[in-house]
Amino acid sequence: MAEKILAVENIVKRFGGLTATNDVSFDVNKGEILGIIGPNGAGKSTVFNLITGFYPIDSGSITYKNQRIDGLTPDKICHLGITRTFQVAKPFPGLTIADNILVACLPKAARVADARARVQEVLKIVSLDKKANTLGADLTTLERKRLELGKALATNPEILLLDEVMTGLKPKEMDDMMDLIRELKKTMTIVIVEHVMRVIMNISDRIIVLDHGQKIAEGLPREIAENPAVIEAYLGRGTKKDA
Amino acid sequence: MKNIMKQKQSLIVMGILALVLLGVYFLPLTVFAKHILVLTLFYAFMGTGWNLMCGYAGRLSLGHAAFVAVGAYTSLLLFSHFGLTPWIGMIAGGLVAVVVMLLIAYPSFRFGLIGPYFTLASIAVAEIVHYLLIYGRDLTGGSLGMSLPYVKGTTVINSIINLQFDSKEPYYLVILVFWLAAIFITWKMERTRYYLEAIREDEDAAAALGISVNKNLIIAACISAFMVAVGGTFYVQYFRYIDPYSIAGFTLSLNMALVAVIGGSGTLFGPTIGAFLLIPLTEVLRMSLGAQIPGLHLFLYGILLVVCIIFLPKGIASLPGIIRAKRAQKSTEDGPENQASKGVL
Repeated sequence: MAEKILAVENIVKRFGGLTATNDVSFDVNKGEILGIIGPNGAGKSTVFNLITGFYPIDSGSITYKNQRIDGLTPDKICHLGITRTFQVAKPFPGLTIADNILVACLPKAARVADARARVQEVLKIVSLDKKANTLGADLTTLERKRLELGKALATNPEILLLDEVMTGLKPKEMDDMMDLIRELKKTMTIVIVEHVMRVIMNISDRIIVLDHGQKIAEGLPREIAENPAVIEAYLGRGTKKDA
Repeated sequence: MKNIMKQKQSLIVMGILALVLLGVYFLPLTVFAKHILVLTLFYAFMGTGWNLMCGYAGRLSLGHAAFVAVGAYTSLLLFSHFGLTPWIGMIAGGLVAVVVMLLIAYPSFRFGLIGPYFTLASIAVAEIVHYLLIYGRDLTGGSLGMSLPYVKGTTVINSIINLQFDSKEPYYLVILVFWLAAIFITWKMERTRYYLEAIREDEDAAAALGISVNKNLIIAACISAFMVAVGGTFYVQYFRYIDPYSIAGFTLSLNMALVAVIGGSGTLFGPTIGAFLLIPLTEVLRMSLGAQIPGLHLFLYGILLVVCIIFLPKGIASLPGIIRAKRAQKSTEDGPENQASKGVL
């Protein structure tokens, strides 16, 4: 039986009149890759923002390793072992790539020297070691995505939340990124929000589907692909009912 | 690797600068030159204090004079009423400044007052302090200001305890030590400096990596306020007279910011470089031109600022990096590949 590492129970988030997340529950098991999909505006990124404390939840609970984490600030949640990437990569533009990674290593390092010692290692993992002295502002899309991932890895997370790391990448670059994510799975649990179906169906162990802030399906990738509710959410109800 | 070098290099530069400035002490200079040197180091010290919060963390304050005034008036009042040595007075003044800073910084950072809004708030705070000092006439002497009671130093120890000297030289040594301490403290806060830079660049990204945004901002703000408040005490002891306009006015706030920005804010030696360029220049221009054509020195000073801001927006400290980049660019431009591409274009 899989070991439950994160439990999201009945979380609700409203922005004024809009319910962005409506009574969503799911578990994350240790060592798996959980995919979250859904049409634009389904509330995928909001779920990440709620788990990592960027938005407070209105009701429900989020439990990580038997500890309630809803209500904690993002930096505390990161210290506990959950790190997220941002959909729009957020490099520190005025710092070099090496310093970007160094900053990410620092909070969990006892001494600055310890953090420094890890920088090169992290840069190698995300293939940015040759760009160490480039400024964060001067990166290509692929490099920005890699740096975003590198910064998250530098914090040594137990659960890594990836928000659309494939967007803007070419097919070959996507394959490289998928290989990297599979490699990471050996040492950590991954939750991934993604639009690119080929990617999500390929690497996820399980998938949950959100639509209009609600969870409409959960299962193996194969089951999800055949689920009528999911097809409806993506393609619409068909002309008969609309008429 | 490069970073380790940077941190060690900074220590070496710090040592060399301190030795050179100590050597200057033994030069036979005119009283005016000595005064300029004291003033320059004073602004280098103030700019370094300002830089911690406003340079590294990018929370631009144009109201830091508020904390200078709090430090200056606290130590002066303690000295004139209770005869308390300014050395303890400056610690007390620093602590009061920290309390004032906390009252302002906590709500500002908590509710995300950033960019121009934070700057406006900082100006407002300085103006409030300015007017409180004017209205508190019974205690502060109002707009007439306050003089430091003169105590004739009978012994060297006595002069040191009262922090009052009859010549410029001892003041020079005192401010040199203050400046060195400020640089050293900033240098020592390596981890916090990285956090502050990250927060300046992107708050959310910093928080997502486990950096406590508010905690680090408040630490920086408090140390910054403490430093400039200590500078306030030095100001009193050196000039022996303060009034709300000179110590809590916009000019002092602006000067602190200017030396840091022109020199290179967010760098260890930027404010010092800026002070050594701007302060002697202002004083010399004023002495040589101020009497003949009133205002001309300010005009020239303004031109220099405009030139600096246009050509070196990141400050003079960024100059070596720019030159290096230009050279690198030149050497690649001369390469055959680039010549070919130029032909195509």
